[in-house]
Amino acid sequence: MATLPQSGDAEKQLPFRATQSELRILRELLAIVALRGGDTAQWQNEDLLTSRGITTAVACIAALKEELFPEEARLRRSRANAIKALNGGPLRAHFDQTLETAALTVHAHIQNRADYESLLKRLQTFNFDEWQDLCNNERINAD
Amino acid sequence: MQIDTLYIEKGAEAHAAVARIRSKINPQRIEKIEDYQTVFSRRKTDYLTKRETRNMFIAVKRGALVKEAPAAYGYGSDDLHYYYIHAYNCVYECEYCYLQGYFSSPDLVLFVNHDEIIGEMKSVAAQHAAKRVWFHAGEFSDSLALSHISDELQDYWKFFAETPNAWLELRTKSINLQAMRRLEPLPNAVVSFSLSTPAQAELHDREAPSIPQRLAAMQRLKERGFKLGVHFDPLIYAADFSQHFEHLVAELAQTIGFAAIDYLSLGVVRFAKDVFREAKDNYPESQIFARNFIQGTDQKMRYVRPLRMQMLETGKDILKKHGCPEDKIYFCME
Repeated sequence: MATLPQSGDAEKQLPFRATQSELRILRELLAIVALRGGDTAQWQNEDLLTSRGITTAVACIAALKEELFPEEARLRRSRANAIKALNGGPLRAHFDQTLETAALTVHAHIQNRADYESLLKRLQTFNFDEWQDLCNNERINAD
Repeated sequence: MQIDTLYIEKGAEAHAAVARIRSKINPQRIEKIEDYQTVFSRRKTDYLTKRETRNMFIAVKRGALVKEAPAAYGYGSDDLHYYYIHAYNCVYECEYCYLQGYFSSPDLVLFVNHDEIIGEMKSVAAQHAAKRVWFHAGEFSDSLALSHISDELQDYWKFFAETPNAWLELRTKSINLQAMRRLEPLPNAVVSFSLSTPAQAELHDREAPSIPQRLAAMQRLKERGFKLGVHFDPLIYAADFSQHFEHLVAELAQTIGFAAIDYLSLGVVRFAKDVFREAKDNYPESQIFARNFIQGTDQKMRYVRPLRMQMLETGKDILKKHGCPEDKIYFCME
């Protein structure tokens, strides 16, 4: 089994800047890589990361999550696709990234009548029952 | 069982249980103390010191003696569910145990004011005379593992024999049936065993009896006519979870049979946030932590809901496939 990355190693070896919070997340994800017998070193290899377009902590976290939890990532993509119709114009909609609930957070910035009508149209087009069914019926056999 | 220091709270000495416990253990030292909390909670003691040092406290439980159980805790949604606290901490060392980090010490505490606990139960059962009121034991300590030492079950048995609307559940992983041998089955008392796949129990239920041993203990109780329950809890993800779970269920169906089991719960591994951190520190190489845990709406660290539901529904389907009536199955804490 690969050795678990010690607290502090990630800071020393990552080829990009990261906030404390990003470092904590990266440490946790690299610990999972090690527990699964994966190679943690490849996630600290600048050449390899750059070749994959991973040049920031945010990108590295996203890539690690995609690799470690592909089924969850697939569900998030499916949710993002399902709320596509809501997003645009004056409206920004976000779903629960933990996949725990069907809750939607909606931000609207209305500057004029056109924005207002676009907002109403987007909300009226969206079928919340379908969205809720999609969330309630999500099942995965692995993370 | 070897006890290093036995601390006896002065206020506890008058209780009959103290002499019973004293006659069954031979500690290296005995100290009389005013208040167990001043020693037990004096400073944070590393959870894993329980591997080397084992102290025991005999004390009086103060504060709430009977507590309302959380939602979806027990079988029977129309019933009322309470738990009572007869002890703190456990002789086993399960990697997912929520006792890690819950108390500041892993030392054992046996409470001896059973008369007061039973008095509280009596009052709760009387307040809800028209309902079935469950009293669960084993929330903060295995309910049978030390029962030959604490020797309190006979007192509780008398209360439940006299109070038909009160139901007892003894939750356990123990195969220690010494105390049970002296008791007769009651229609309102259930002994429920926590089961997981043998491979996972071997990996994660350190110091606890193996699954074949637990099944054998269930069989002995069944032969004597005791009511049984099963908690498949915690279910821990593995790629081959469903195959191993199916083997376990087939074994259970064959050795015990669902007719002899009153209810079966399914619960997916979960942690309070503090316990999650502590468990990861204690068992950094445990495969339990090779998965993604998110913080749920109840603040507990859990697998994502789609994976939990898949495991629970798979478990339920497998149970039904092997002849378990659906109405005996419930999802715990979900």
